[in-house]
Amino acid sequence: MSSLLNIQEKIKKKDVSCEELIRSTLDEITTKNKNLNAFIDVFDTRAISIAKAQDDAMAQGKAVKPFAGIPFAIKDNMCLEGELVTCASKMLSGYRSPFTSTAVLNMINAGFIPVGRTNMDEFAMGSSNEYSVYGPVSNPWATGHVSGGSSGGSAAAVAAGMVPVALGSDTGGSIRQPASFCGVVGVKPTYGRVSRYGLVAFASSLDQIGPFCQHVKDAALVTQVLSGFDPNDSTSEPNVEPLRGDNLNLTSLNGQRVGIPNQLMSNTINASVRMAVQHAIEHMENLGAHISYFDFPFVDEALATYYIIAPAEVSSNLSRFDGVRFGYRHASAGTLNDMIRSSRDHGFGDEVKRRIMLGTYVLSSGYYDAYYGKAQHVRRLITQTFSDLFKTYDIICSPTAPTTAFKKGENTNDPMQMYLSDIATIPVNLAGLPGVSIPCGTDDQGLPIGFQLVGRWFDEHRIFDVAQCLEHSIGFNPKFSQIGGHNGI
Amino acid sequence: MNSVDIDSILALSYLDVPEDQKKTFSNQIRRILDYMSVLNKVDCESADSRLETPMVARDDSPVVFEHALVKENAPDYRPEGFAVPKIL
Repeated sequence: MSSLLNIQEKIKKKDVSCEELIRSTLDEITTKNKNLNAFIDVFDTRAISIAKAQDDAMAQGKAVKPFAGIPFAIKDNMCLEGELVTCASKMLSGYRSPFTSTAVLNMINAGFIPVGRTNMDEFAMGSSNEYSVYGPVSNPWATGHVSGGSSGGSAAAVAAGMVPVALGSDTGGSIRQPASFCGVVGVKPTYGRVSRYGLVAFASSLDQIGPFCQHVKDAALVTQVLSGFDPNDSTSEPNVEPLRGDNLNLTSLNGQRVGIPNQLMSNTINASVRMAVQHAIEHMENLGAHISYFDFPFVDEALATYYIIAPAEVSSNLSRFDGVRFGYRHASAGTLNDMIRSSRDHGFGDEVKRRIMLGTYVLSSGYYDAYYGKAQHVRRLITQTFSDLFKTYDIICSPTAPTTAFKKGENTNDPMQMYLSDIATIPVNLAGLPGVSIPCGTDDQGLPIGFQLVGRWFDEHRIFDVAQCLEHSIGFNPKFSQIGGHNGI
Repeated sequence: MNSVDIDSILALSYLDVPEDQKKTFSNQIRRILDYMSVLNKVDCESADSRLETPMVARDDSPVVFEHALVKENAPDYRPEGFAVPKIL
């Protein structure tokens, strides 16, 4: 698929109209979705109407928005006024949002056109996109394998060339891990850079919205569009230098100090993944980066910390789903309490219930200090450790995930095994740091491998600059995707 | 965690899972909690309190939000409010 700047140029030169582009995208989604299940809804009437209005504005010589006519997809946990938003859950079946999330609004204000909702793990809880009421998403590189999760639909949609941009949310790796599994670029911005207003809350101290694209430059441009202070989100950061995604210019990595955590290059990581990541590190070294290895003492502890803090926030955030004001209500002849319990029992899937129970347990009287209190202290130590590490290194790199995309059904009965697939991404969320996954190779089955770059707080520009330099050097070709294509653009 | 514990957690969670699933959930949660024991080895004395997350709660004034979809999304909306089953 062409880069955003190429598509922008074609629209500007009138090689293709906005309407033609949107119609071809909708056709592409219809054709490819049968095999992938990446989209769960398309906004065809709305999208074509916006595209026609943009074409009319251009014909009349009116000012055109920078990304006019370019389609994008929205993960099913972000609100768009008047459209369904269900978090891939029976609990929110039929729910239409009465307002638009800030991130989606920023995209629309920049000219992007929303074309549909993408599949996800229920309430963003999962690492394979198999916990969805709409069924699993298939990996475009091998349809018997998972797409990763929880933003698996968005990752697969971009990997398959259905759309050039899709939005996801990342609480413990839910953008970077599916980006790794599907061979695309995935960005988790610094906590506070992108507004969470209108994102259905999973774990509010960890959630962050970011894009999937096929190219680093596109991802940088979209992150710039998404970013900005929003008074509707009390954790939105007001005093941040704006990101300049259009100004990536590194041609070498001279002077860049790169740290590699030994624990994420050990034999707990799949051999093919380690080999591809080592190859990427050699590229960085050849480009002039200074590489050194260090011990990160909290890899297992970070996973444990995350699976206390995130479920604790889940048990609180999801208490609003009670069948009273919105969402699924189970027909019950009993009392209000019976109705609430049976609505939650029938409305939530097993993984969501498991996390609510776990969160309730760690917050309950007698266990709070031992679990939640302790986890908050360890989280602070992890943040402190990163703060110290970034005095020595400019970028920290590792595999994005310990394996490539596994087969569907392989881990669904073993939640702990599923959680381990986020071992390299979770520490980044706990510290609120920015992280990007770029494809760096394939394993012996031809499945993509992701390379994670993590930077200082609000230092996304450096990550994008380094990632683009590396992307050009590695020369990963996304066309190998089984179902991927060029969508006529 | 034994079956008595799972019942108490289910009650606190406002969840009601079928009897035959309780043992599965209980075993899975037990295994996850066992993994959490790695945190017992961490010495948190050195945790720097300066890195504590600042309080982000604000004294926002409530804003009345009216939209036709608020009523349409309700399982049982009536002019006087959201209808629910009897409390007792």
